Amino acid sequence: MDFIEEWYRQYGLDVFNYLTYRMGTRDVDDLVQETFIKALHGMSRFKGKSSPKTWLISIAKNVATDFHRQGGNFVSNERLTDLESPEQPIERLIDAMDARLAISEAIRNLKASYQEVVILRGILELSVAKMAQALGWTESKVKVTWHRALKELRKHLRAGGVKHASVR
Amino acid sequence: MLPSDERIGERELMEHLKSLKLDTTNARTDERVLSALRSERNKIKRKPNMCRWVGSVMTGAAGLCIAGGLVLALHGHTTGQSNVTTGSGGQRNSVVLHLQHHA
Repeated sequence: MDFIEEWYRQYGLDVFNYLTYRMGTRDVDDLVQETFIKALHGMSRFKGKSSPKTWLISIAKNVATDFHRQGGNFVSNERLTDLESPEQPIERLIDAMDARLAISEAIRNLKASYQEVVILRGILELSVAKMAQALGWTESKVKVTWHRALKELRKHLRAGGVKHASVR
Repeated sequence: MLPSDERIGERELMEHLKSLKLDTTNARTDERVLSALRSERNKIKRKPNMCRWVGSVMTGAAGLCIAGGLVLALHGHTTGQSNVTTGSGGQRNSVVLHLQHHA
């Protein structure tokens, strides 16, 4: 049962990243916690067919979906723009914040299935096979959705009029 | 750079997406999640202990019932034998058989 703490140490940041971009805020501690508690209770169902990371992300996906379904809304104003380290030079900080804000806003404007693939493939760099396991899709559906999502993301970025936004 | 009016290449976009990955959680995320996991794990550990306790009580009670039944059956059997010898235990014998059947 100590597995779960070990898994948190190994994959907690991935789950945190997934939920942060899925929800559009860093204020996802409760959802991260819920994900790992569900994993703890469902540990006996984990057969090792997929990697623990993939399994945890699929649980996080369900947690996020349930949260949206229940009409959950974040009251926190802690946005993704509050992420940057204050030690960076201010110009760089502003640029990074601009880029992050633009891309995260563009991701938030995508439909749910596109968001999933952009976060999993683009940000978390999961392979197509792992994404298929996490999402419960076929690999070809993942590939098709990924290409459509990128196209849509570009469209949103162009429409958003991002200017001189370099990331880090 | 992320040009607004040019076609954004897939490679460039991928680089931007990769760079979005956060390096750290919030200041208190780890502490909160790990503490919640420990408390949940203790709850799970306590549950089987409770079940074991209830199980022991049930087993004990069942054991007592069986033992009681055996004593009664044995007692009835010996009583039945003495009645046969006296030649007046017809009714008694049927009671003994009934008890033995239940035991």
